[in-house]
Amino acid sequence: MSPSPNLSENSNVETPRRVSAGAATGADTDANTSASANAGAVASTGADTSTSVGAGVVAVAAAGIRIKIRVILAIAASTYKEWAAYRTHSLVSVFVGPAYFLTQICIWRAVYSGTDSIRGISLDAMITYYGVTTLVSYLTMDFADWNLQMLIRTGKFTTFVLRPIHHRLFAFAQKLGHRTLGLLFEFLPALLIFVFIFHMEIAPVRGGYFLVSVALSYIMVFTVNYSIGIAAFWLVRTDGLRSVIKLLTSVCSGALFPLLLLPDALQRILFFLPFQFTAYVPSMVYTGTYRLGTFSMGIPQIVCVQAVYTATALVLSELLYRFGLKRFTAAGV
Amino acid sequence: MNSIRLAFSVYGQYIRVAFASAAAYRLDFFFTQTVMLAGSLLIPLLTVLIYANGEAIPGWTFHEALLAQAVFMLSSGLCAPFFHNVVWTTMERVREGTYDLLLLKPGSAVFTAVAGSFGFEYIGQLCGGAAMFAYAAARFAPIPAGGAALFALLFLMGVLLNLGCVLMMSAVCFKWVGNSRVFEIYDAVTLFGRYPVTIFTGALRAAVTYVIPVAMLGFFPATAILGRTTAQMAVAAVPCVLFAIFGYGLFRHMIQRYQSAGG
Repeated sequence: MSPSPNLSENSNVETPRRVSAGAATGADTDANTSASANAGAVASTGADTSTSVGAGVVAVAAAGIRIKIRVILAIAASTYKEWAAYRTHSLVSVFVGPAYFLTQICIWRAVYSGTDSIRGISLDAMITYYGVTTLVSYLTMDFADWNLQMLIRTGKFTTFVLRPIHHRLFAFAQKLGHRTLGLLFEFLPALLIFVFIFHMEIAPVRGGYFLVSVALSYIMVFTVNYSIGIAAFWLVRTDGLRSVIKLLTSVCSGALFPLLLLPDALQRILFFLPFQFTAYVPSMVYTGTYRLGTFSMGIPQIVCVQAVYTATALVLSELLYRFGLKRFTAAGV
Repeated sequence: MNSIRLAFSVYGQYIRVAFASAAAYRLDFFFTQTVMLAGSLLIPLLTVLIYANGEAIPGWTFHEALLAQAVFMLSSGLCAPFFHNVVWTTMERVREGTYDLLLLKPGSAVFTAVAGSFGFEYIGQLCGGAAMFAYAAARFAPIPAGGAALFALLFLMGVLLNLGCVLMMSAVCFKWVGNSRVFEIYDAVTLFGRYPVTIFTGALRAAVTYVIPVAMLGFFPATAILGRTTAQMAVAAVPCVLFAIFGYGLFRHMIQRYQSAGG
């Protein structure tokens, strides 16, 4: 799904302003109140022991987290409402996803007419794979890259530098709101079509791990896209770079076909790259077995590896952000 | 004759402006072209993988299947720079209320809309399609004159279908304001034209052959080169022409009803 420039622009110019007017100001007030309350509590008891100071620090931290969560929810709710005005845009997915899925079914049914298995994948497993990757893509999709590069290019990012919230968190909250809408108007209708028209069985072998894997994929997709957006600090326009990465991701993530169809040597390389964690791994976790190239491991293990890669991606993205921010000149304001 | 010459001259100017605009951000332009080229070459990747793993699309050798996809790529690559941006331009201008500026220009509104939307950023896609077609068609050279003529005719039908779809989508943008996803519907429909229609059965095959004849984008022209002519080709050409006529009529109609509400 490509973002609507006008909507994306709105969601970064108007929505954030609305949100920040309420949420960020509220956050400041709450933070100050909480800090004062805690400081007062410490003073009133005359706490001079390390225990009470430690408890105060914990309380302040807890209050900070509570405030952050409230801010995130406020931004997500605001984004949801804004995009809900364009529900029919989301409903396009109800046609596009199943059309893609139907094409894949036709292709593979024709190809499998002469064989039972390709690279150890049966026809049912192949169709399930495409169904799962399509559904998961509805949940994880985002365009944080487009938004961020637009803000940097137009100089509108300045307002975010001044706000008492990291832009990454703001963008992530926007994704939460946008994908909640996606869940209702893309994922669920498509799921019903897959189940009742294509008779796809929705039964992940290890449901808990599958949910964790999808959640990690959600964060990974966001982190990668956000990092691409950061490149605008250097390149100004990142459309080309975005296209390059998206092209690489589409091939190397397993979104277009199971990575097991690729030559073995390429599979071994892809095992060490992060792309597989956005589509291939969640789908494999769904089926309950994971292998790529010569690597084969249990579901808990691959989900742990996915978590490590996701955490690493977050750290690298933050480093990139800090380097990039030094180059920001707010040109265009 | 003079008006035709003038039209070409105006079109040339628009292309020059499009090039200058694209060249303003050279690095981005380079990335975009590289991606367009590489992306277009990825279209047959699934086919390559199927055959590389020892399997096949029934009734089609690897090079025959590749030819069908190469024709599709050439057709898409040719239409993209000339037509595709009409949708985006219309969408943006209607949303901003600046479509009036286009209507103020002298000459046909449809011509101005099409010529002013030349997309230099799609040149990579055109090059990729042309390269793949040259590679695939070379396997079947020499192509008999009759086959080549039939190919050209069917290919033109595919272009007309493409033009009709683009004009219809552009027309829709006057009502369905700012929907950037309208092109995804087009991509989803034309996806059925990327593969030999023999993989489809029953009503679906009839739909992609006669109702929205996306088979004309790759399959039918390719079979003309392969010498497998059928009566279906002639029947499928009719809706292609109808699509172009209807698209043109609908686009003109929507331009006439445009009220400049967003400005």
